[in-house]
Amino acid sequence: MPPLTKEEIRERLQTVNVYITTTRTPFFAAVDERKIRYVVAITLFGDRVSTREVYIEKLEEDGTTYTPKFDSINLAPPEKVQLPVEGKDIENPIMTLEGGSRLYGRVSGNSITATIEYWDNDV
Amino acid sequence: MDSKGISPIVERLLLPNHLMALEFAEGWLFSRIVRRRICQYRPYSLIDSLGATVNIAATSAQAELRLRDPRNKDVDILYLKDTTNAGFPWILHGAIGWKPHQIFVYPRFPEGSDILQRFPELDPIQPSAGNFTGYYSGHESPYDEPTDFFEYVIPPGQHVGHEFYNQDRRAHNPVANILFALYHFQLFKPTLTGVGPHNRIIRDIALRHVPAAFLTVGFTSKPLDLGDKLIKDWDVLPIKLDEAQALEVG
Repeated sequence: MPPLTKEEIRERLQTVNVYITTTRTPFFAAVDERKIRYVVAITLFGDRVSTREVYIEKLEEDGTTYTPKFDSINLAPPEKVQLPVEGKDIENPIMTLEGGSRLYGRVSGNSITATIEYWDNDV
Repeated sequence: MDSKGISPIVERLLLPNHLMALEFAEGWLFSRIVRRRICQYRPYSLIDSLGATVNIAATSAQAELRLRDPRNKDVDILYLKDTTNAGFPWILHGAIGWKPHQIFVYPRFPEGSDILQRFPELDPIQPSAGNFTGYYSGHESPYDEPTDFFEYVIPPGQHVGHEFYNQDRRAHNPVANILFALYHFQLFKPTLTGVGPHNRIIRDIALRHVPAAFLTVGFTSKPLDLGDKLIKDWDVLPIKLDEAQALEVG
């Protein structure tokens, strides 16, 4: 069969808002084993109180290894930070998560909100 | 898609004067298209038997439905009530494109029958469980370009049913592009003993001496019965391919 069209990818785009705390917070449950998840963008919103540092880590399929993906992202109180900074593209994801893996966020000092956009290679 | 044997249905539709062989359970019919008309319903928004829009919840199934005309819910779009029309037998040939592509479509032909669009030894398909086989979707047959991934050849008197499963995490109303050709055709009548006027063309089609479309009515492992009514109204006797190839032509 032909590869997914851009329209089909757009139809699969999911947007999830998560409240990230000072301990590891999952963006979503483990990716289904039969799927590959393409993360298109992550937007972090400052807490309007103080500058925070944000850490984004991938939990590998072994269930124990956390691999840093974005470390010590400096987030000023009134700002938002979007990854990738140069503009998102649904066909060029910033991260690829294989089946069984997870993605976590963690913040220093206080909680923030984040929005993640992704799509899966299979329905 | 041609390289994998799956084509846009517009490349498969026949034109007037094209030859056509139709396979039924009882055997083959041989014919020539006399008239052709394109019939399209686009966009077709799926409705239920009460005429209400079907919005399938996330990861949920929709029980079998006919594709009913939203303007008159009692009419099945893909149904031919009369066996002949304007002096000739007729038949529908076409395909359906769907969107969004996260909806799995499980056709039952005829309605209520087993879904045979599967590997032969598999257990029966369960659309209610969203089985990953026995379906097609807008990926295989896109809304904007329906393909012959599931090719419909519908004779008079047969209803087609469809079940659905929404694989997405959002609710969706399936929307279709129903693209068919309605053929009025001349049937060639074989003379099994001696020479008959149509024997030569029938034999030439069966021997592939002339180009002709070969279409199976129903699933390939279980073609539909032609039935006594069509045999009578169409005034024709289906024959085996071997019989067709051996017809006496003088």
